[in-house]
Amino acid sequence: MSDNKQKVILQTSDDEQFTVEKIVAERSAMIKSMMEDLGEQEGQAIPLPNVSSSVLTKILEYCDHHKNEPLPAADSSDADDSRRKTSEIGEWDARWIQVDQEMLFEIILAANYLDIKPLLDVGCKTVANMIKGKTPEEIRKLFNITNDFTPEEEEQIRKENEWAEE
Amino acid sequence: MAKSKKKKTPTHPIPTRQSQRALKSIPTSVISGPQTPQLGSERPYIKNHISVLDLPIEVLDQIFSHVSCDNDTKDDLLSCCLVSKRFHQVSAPLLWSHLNLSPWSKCRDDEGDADRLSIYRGILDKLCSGKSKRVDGLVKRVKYLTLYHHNHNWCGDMKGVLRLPNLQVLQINLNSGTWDHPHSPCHDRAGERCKLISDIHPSTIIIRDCETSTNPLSRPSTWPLSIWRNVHDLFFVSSDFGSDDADHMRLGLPGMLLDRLESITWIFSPIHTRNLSLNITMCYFKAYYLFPFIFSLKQTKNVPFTIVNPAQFIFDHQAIVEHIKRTFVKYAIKLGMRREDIDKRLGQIRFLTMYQWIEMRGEWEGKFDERELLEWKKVIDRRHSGIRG
Repeated sequence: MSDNKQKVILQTSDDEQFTVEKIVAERSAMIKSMMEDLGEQEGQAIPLPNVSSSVLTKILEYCDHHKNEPLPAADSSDADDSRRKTSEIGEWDARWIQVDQEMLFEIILAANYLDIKPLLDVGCKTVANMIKGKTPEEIRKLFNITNDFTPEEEEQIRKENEWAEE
Repeated sequence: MAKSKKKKTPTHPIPTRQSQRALKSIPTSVISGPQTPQLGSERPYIKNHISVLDLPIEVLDQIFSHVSCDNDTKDDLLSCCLVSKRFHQVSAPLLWSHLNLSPWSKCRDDEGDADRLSIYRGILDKLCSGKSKRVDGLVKRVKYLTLYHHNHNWCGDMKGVLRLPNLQVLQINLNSGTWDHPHSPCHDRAGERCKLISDIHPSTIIIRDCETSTNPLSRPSTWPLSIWRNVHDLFFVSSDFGSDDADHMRLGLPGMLLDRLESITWIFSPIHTRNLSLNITMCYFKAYYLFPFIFSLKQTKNVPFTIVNPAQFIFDHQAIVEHIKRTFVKYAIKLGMRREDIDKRLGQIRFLTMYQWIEMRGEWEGKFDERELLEWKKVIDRRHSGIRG
């Protein structure tokens, strides 16, 4: 059996076990380093207490699709790296991430926890695209956020940021 | 699909949505900060549902950095600041990391509007007065300052000066719009220095599209000399450079201390401001303009020099480079320089095509917006394909 076909078992927060190809699981830098730490122990499940089976199913779809792409360098400064890029999302990724808001945030949290940088990036760009072009009130409505500013605070913020208005 | 999914616990009932939620610990474990539970309880919908407010600060930071990245305006970040306290906490530092001051909006249709100028002066006063602790905290975030069409006459009577302790880059864009402006009494205070920037010490200065009257390197400059003290990297972005500027520069840069200067980069932008008729004669003149800067001014003649896109988009890069070099040698010999010194100096000059420079990310990162560079590349691409066709 070739190295690529090696399997690992992932155990979700709701005690489901997923047997996946090593190359797929390794999209997660967190799982990758965990496997390195644990060594090759056949049959031992890697616990993912922060990821539910529904979210993991979705994320494995992503990892499987991208399994043959080069992994981002381990030491690349993630935020800086993605920050400078424009907010374009690949066609497949854009379709794949068409989910409800809650699933979207679950995916982002899980990508952050599992340390899958390109996935976190896709998630963040998707949320950013939802925000763009909207007024503060529209953003609150979109995400169901309560305005916790007093009118005075709001006025103060407007005033101190006046330079940024076009 | 190669992926296989096996349930090893068949006796376990398929988890319901509720039990999944109960088992999950992400929302509480990854979020720190006292406001989270409070925000959570205020939300009207069912507990345990994840919202954007449950995302950790560093993720929100990444989201907002994308919000601001596809357009030049700051409208979207500004909106984020006003959504809620948590949004403000993350988006305000991003908004303030690049302070952009201009009396006119970019769309230009309000140029000539006196109200706009008084608003601008009001903004400057607010930033400089030191009266608001909040504003003082925010200006500490500023790493990049762009002054667009600023004129020193508009800050001469200000009570305070701008203090930006963490400033790295100053970008100034001064073209004739400022000078000819009906509300700019530009000749009234001849000889005065710009007060607004009299106490800032950037390590990088980017000068764009300046003309003789506003070019801080020409005489007499309205820019305070102290601004040059800490400059390591100096960039010029220009599609054009007037002969007057060259004449001024030949006189030297009096009083300017550029002790820390490590590099000068001159970028010929393919997006023109004035002269579209670029031809080999123009390139010849450009070499002439740059000569004093590279070979004779005492502050700059030993500093490594990079010329980007010298051929613009019309001619073969290598041919233009050879032409410019020959021109430099000719002038240098006239100046009485020894051949070996000339060669040594030529060895410190890099000639890069726009493509080569864009590839060298370390050269421009944090100083130039990648979108603008890609725009330049596109213009050159189009020209090239036009020529071939």
